[in-house]
Amino acid sequence: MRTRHYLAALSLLLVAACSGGCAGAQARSEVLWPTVKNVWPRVKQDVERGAGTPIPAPIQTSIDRLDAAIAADNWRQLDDVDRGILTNAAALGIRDRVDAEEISEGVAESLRERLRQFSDALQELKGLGL
Amino acid sequence: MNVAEDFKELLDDFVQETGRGLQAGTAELAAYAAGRSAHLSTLVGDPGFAVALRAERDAVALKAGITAVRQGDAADQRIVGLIHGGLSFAAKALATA
Repeated sequence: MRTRHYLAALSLLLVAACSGGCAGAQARSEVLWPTVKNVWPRVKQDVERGAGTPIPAPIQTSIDRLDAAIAADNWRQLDDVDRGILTNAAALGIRDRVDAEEISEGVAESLRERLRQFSDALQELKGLGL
Repeated sequence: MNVAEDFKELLDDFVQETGRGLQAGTAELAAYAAGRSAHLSTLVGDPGFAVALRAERDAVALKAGITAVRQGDAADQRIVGLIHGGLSFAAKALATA
């Protein structure tokens, strides 16, 4: 009888732990995702700068998919976003700004750091972790 | 120009923009923010300094979010681990009862 009570208590604990949203999923929805949505427009500028004109189709597809995920406010749609193609284009965009003497190499390092954190953030939202 | 104060002001602005507080409780995150602020201090007067200020703010905010997710995932794993262990123990007790 005592064991059954113990089992019941454990089951309730499991339900309680996840009924409010398991902590990891909650942090993704309420902390990281709003941040990604806020930062994306500035990272997007670097992506578009590096992609050139016209933007190659594979890059445009990932841009559109990320925009769509934000428009739908659904971070689970990020599975379709190729973060590698976005970060490569953004890195080229940052390099281009240095070459054009718009920013210093030190400022470029700040933009690259933001890009690294943005890429890591997309990975965390996909649940793949690092 | 006080870079540290400007940086903090931007972080506070971010909280207002997103309506979300930054999970800045970990020592790792505090060290990261201090490092980024120190880097910013070296850029005063550089072309594009305002761009760097905003980029560093974004980087710290993202790092805070990533930290929150990893802490949440770790907490979930601990809870699941505890429950799994407890259920295994209880199942054995029932089997031998």
